[in-house]
Amino acid sequence: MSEYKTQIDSFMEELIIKNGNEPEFIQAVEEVAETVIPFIEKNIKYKTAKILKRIVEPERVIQFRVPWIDDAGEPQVNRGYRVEFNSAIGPYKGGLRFHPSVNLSILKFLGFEQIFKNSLTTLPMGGGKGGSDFNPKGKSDNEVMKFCQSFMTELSRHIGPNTDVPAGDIGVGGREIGYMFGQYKRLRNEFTGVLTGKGINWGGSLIRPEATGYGVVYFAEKMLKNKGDDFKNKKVAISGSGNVAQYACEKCIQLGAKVLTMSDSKGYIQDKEGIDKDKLAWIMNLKNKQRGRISQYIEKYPNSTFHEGEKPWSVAVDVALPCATQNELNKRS
Amino acid sequence: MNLINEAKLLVDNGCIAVVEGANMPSTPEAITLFTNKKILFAPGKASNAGGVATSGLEMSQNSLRYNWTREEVDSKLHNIMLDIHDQCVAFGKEEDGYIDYVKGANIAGFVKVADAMIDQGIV
Repeated sequence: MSEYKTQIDSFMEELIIKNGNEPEFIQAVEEVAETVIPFIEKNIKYKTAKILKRIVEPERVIQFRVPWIDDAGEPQVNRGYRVEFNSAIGPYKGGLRFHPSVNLSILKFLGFEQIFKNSLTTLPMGGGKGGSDFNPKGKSDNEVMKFCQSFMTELSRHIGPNTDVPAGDIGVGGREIGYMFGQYKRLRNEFTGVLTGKGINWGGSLIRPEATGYGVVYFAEKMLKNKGDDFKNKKVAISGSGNVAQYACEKCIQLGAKVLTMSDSKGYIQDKEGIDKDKLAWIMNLKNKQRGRISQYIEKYPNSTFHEGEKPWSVAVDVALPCATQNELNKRS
Repeated sequence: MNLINEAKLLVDNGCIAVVEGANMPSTPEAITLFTNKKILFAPGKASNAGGVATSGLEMSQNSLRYNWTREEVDSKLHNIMLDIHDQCVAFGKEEDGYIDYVKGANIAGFVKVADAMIDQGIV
């Protein structure tokens, strides 16, 4: 890689001059540039067309005021964004994030990565990302609805089923998608697939809750198959116990693997006999309904152990599936 | 896998594959270790793309004004994951046969968009 250091450095230098106040975005571009520049140097048509220089510039960035009235009758103002990064292979597509940490640099970072991820799916989807510094935590349903309606009132001018199709992300779940979809439909008088992550009775898709977890295991299964191997009797460590971890675990069990661990932010549980279908159903109830801690598993299944404050990677396994999405917030995005 | 020690333990204990369900839970140091030890490693941008892929399938169903069954969506998701894997192999296979899924995913994702941009001219 170092043989292309000069090209990478000079490309990054120009990017930093233009986007110096966007550290997350710069880091995201650097990671892509390091693998893509050596490839471009060997495939000259991309160099001639200046693709990399063009691709790091979003096609459009929209920033707007989101005014709303809180339950006390006080006016509030948040900042809304939509980064429409690339539409070369399909309508802009990417989540909306409602979180106090949201700023342009973070959304450009996420939108840039979304271009390549969406491209990999083989489906016709371009790259985008958006959101607001609004924090749904601690807000009433009514306040969340007021905010979502105001946010969509402006956003609706810029999106559409053939233009830009946002989805949920951190702070934007089924409730927020519902309020935003309702407002878009009211403003435009159109029932269309302008957002994804919709409720199952009004345009949502089956398998959406299972998709990430199942997909991870389908991918892992193909990696093993490529080496003439499979999941049968494989020992598996899973971190996390949320949506992704739960459905990854379910698919591993279906494929005959033995899942030994799951975790949450307080630590991990190890079950030497393996987490079977019934035990997983118990965990899903614990996490999705009771909102309990994974440590409660050892009270229900005394042959297991709980390891406080640790991650499951010291357990001897054949396959490791890091699925603890919540901790990601503290890292970079 | 925030700590390089965690990655080392996994490798020393005989782990053969690390497949990310979360977004970038592994540090660059951990990834370098996996690659050097020739452990199968899939970055989240490839292995957890099933989520956004199914959003794409939601768009398809909305355009068709028709809902697919669980089995239909699941089978399309499965095929997409196999396709993503094969794209990583196509662009990530090293001379010794080892598959660098990080490199493969980055380049495969780039090429499709870049080719489309070239075809559509300077816009």
